[in-house]
Amino acid sequence: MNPKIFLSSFLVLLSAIAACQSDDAFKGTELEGIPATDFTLTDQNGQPFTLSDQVGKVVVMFFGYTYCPDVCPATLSKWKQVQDALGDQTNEVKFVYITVHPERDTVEKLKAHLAVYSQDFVGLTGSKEDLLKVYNGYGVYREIDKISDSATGYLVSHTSRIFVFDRKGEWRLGIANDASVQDIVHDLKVLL
Amino acid sequence: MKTIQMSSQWTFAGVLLMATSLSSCQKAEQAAADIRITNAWSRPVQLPAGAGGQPSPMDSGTNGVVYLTIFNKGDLDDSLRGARSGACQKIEIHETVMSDDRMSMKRVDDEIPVPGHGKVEFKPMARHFMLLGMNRSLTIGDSVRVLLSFQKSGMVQVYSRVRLN
Repeated sequence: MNPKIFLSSFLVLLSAIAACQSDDAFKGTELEGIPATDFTLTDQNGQPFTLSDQVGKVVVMFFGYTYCPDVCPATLSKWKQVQDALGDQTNEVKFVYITVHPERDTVEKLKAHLAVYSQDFVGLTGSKEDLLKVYNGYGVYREIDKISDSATGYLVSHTSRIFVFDRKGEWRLGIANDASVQDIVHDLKVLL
Repeated sequence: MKTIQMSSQWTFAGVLLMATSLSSCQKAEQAAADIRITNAWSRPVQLPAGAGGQPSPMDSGTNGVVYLTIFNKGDLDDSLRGARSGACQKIEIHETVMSDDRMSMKRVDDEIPVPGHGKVEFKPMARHFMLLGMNRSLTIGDSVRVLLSFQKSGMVQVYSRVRLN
């Protein structure tokens, strides 16, 4: 092989490897050109919360319900670790938890539930109509599963992915629920 | 002398009998189930103000969870038949099922085999004990007393430590 061709191929390969390993590459799934659906819901203090008012901050969003004992609290617990790992930068990030079960998740329940993890987490509920617009806007699956042999009566199946918005208010990332704390921190730092 | 000889024979027979009995006992012990519980922990639960009145599994709206690992160090198979705790109205075994990015839960049979020299895990995002209708809040650092009922080993008590993760 011509040494020049060999050398250029080698350099191209090296660049490709370097690009793959770039620290700026997101661990989550990057989304481009998907406008964020704006909404106004009620937070755990009974105050209105509007997504577009958060421009300038990175927003991390999850859909869950307080009755869920496993995945939803696991997500909040992970957020708490992410918050701790971000240190001072956490002031630039808003963690938002939207209920998929407004029938049970009152403002009081959201407040008590989120306070266990962080006073800075925002818990949102609202009318079924307003919440439905948000679910539809982000393709959130939500379904009541009746469980006849359980004292719970029913549970709620729902989308478990974490949504991330950049400082410009654009919907930038989808992060799998089982992503590590380190990977989430990494992605948020890239956006910060 | 003869009496003494007879006595020695009886003593010898007695010792043999005792040795045989001891040996049988050891065999019986080896053949038993031997349940050990490790790494029991729960997530914190904060009941909203006013929910501590008369909660019921259907309306209290606040649940807890217990994760743990059951080891059976014995030879005999055993099986878990249920669990209860004074911290809640009822405990059911549930399993989290992830399909793509959809999370759902289903109740699984309360009777779970624990084979001899085997283990059964209850862990996040998988099979877990669901505490229904909490009677009290669970604060980080608390311990929750849980009684596990086994077919052969009977009731086994475990204290589940409350922590974030």
